[in-house]
Amino acid sequence: MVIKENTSDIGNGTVKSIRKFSRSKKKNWRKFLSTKDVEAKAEEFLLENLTGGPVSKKADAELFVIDKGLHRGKYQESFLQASKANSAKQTRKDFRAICNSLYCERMLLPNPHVESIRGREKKKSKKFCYKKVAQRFLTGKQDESTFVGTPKDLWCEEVHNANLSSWANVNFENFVKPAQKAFATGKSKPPLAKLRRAVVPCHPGLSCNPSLADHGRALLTTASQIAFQNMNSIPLGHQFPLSLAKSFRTNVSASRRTFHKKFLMQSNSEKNLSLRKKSIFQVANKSNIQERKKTAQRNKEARQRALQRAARRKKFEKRRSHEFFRARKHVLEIEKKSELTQLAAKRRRMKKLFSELQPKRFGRLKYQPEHLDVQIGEELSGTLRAITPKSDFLRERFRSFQERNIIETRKRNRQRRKYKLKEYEKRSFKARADE
Amino acid sequence: MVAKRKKKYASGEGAHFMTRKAALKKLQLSLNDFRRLCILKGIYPREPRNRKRAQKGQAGIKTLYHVKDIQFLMHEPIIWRLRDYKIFNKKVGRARAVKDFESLKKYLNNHPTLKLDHIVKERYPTFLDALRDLDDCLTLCFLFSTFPSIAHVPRDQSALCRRLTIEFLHAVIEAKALRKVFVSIKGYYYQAEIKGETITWIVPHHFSFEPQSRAEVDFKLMSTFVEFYTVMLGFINFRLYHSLNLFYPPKFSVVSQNDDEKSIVDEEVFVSERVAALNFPVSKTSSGEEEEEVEIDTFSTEDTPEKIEEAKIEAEKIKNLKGLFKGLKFFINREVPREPLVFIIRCFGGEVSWDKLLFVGASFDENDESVTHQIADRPSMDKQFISRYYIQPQWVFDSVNARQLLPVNKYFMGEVLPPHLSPFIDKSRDQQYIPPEEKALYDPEALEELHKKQETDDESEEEEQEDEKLEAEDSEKVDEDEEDTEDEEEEEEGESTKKKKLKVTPGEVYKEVPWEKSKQERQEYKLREKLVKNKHRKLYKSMMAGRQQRAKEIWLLRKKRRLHEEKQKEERKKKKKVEKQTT
Repeated sequence: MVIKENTSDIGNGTVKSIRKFSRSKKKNWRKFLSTKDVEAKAEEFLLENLTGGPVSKKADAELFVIDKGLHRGKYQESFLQASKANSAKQTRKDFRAICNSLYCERMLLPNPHVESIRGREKKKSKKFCYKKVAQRFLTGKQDESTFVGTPKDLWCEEVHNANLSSWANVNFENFVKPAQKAFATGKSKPPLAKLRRAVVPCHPGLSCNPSLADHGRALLTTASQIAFQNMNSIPLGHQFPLSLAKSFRTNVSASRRTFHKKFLMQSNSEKNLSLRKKSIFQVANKSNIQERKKTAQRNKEARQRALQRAARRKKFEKRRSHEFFRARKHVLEIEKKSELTQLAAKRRRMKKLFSELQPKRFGRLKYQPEHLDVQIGEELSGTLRAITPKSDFLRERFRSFQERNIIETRKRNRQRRKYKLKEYEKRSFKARADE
Repeated sequence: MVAKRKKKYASGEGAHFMTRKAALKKLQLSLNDFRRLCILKGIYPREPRNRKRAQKGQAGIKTLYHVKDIQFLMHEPIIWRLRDYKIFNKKVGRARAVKDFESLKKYLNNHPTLKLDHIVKERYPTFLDALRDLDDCLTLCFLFSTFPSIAHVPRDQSALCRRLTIEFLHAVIEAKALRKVFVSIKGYYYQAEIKGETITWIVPHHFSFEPQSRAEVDFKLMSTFVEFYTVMLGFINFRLYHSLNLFYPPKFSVVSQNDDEKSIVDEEVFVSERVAALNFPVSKTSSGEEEEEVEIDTFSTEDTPEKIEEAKIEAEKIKNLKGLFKGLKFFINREVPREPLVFIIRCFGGEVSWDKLLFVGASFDENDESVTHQIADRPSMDKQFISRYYIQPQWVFDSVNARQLLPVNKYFMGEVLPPHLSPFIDKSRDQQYIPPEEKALYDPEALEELHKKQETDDESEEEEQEDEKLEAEDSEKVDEDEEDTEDEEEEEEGESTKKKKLKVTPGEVYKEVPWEKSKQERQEYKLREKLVKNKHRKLYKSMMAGRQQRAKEIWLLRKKRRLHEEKQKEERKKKKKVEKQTT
């Protein structure tokens, strides 16, 4: 879309029109894109970098090396020393002249002492870089290449740490950090669900050649599940107790408890109510009838209270004196109690662990366990050659991840097609409109 | 000054948990990238105790994460890689649309890659931690090695899985670490012991790949798991090989004589094929060193010398197990699955070979006279050698589980095999039904009893028939004798009543009646039960109920076994009758 059309006078009398296009939308970027000027600029830039740029724009210092005679290396010093030794009569002027002579000239002068290039590098590496070694241990940084290209030992620090402790006179505690924690979050331990076994050995009835007993046991469990499902009309997949009798027992006990609650407790509460009513009535009457106490009465009550206090104190002291002989009994009681508390704590821990290891609910959907896969007698193969594919391995692995609370159970969202609304006019309407 | 009001859900569970949407917003990642990151880093969603508080009063059930976990993820450098990958995709798409193929090539050559080494080190700081999580890793890698190239599972990944799994198998063979094997309808269950850790994994049967519906399995998710596990398995293999003084990547120095290739076109393919054959020993870094025999230390301060003895016995058994198939030579027929059997036989010191045309790496032919066992799964074979046993593959698995070479007669070709029992049963429980075949494996006397029982059953049938005839004759005689004795007893009683005086008579022998004794014992037991305190009564009742249930189950199974044996007896009788009639 053309927005403007500007004209500019180049200078020769010709008028050049410059068209400006809108570049507001993405469509227009591709349509009216011309990268020629950009490419030209890039080429120029490249050339400049390669060639170093035009000579006219550069300063003299960049193009030429100006030898001010200030450079002095070791070979120069040795030359100077040699020259000193040879000619003792050399004056200071001569010395200065030698020092301030051009570098390029000095380079050409003969010198028996030639430094090797390697010597310099060796000198640098002579110093043992504690810092680098320490860094390597601290950060654990190694080559970024993966095992495919260049394999490496990821747990080499374990070996190093084992060896380091045996080195005498070396304190590496400052350099070596302790092993990193598995999880750097607030909770150092991994979630308990991970402790669940990843590969659970299957029921012996699922053997390629199962024994009658194992096969029978597997059939019994599935039969009981199906029977329970039919009774309670709960979909298959939920885990049921093995024996039906157990479930009946719980129902009966539950009903007993409800009966107890509903009927027996009610009768007790009714009794309490009647009692309360009486007491209220009495209290109300008492308040009306109560008169002022006499002093004698008050003194009598006070004496009685004092006697009661004395009796209580006596009893308490007597008990205290007898408790000395009860020490053994107390110890036994304490031991028993501690055992019971330990048992209770253990039970709580087991209960917690059990609840932690159960599949949890992370979203809208619940995890539905699959029923036990059991083969009918006709399907039993007995040989490896006759085995047919029964269970879906990949699906089982996926489900086991969900069971162990590593991923949440979810349903894949179906992509619903959005149809375009088409509008059309009926012929009858059109005909009427024409009329 | 007005005191600041405490905001709701600013502390407690509301402050510790974060919804997934909030996490995505904080990390600025898409849902797919977030899922991938969580899988790689080992971050899982959590279920709070009080959902309402954790969700800050919002209705419904949402996926929640710990706030600290998300903060931990924020510092992960992989996030930048994921964002680079997003930008890379955009650039590639644009270049493709504009048809700028030069830049497209440039982008594809310099694509961003994820490096997961530091994550493996973070999640498993020690080698033992990595070994503990090897079950999942191995099963998934073995599964993915059988896959063809699918949309979310590239060919490189399945090839890499194949390579790594074979390397691991070689390590197990060299370490002789395999302990248990079980063949189920799902696949082969293996259990190995490495550095004191038991590792159990499943290898599926080699059937053709079945396409899955996207609603059932998320392939992208599984391939993310595999991506992490392949890196982990690579490091584990490296460490294992170095601990066993083997070259990594594996090399072999032995060249089989049967290889007729005159010129090796591709050396890498040649080596990889022979490594995959599992038949060649991998070359070691230090030669000439054999395993030293480790003796178990005996501590005098130990309170339980029985446990030390048990440990010693167990160690001896394992030592014998490692050389179970030593000196034996096996030849595998075409119809038998090659890989699992080769792996198991080589783990226990045996030599294996197969048909040259089936797979590369066969070390000897079928005609080799030194072959001791030929594994065949056919009803019969035309050509058979006398110097070897022709057995079915189940013999190998059962021998490994029994930790001894089982008698071969039950596993011949065409024989009905005994049941393949699972070695993963918990033997610590007292009340368990053990079929007689399993008992016979542990007690050789029980085996003899089983055989004797079958023989005596046949004999007893014949004796019973004879006895029935004799009984019918005797019953007539007995009736006549009874009438005579009754008359004699009446005469004796009349004489004794006349003489009743004080006398010293010898004592009578008191005969113990067993049912009375048992009755008394039962009464005493009930009295003892009543002495149990009310506190412990519930626990006691549940214990007894559990015991009774287990006993009931065992009784049911024994009954079934008895009925089954009776049926078999009747069938044998019928067969014999038919045979007699024909003869």
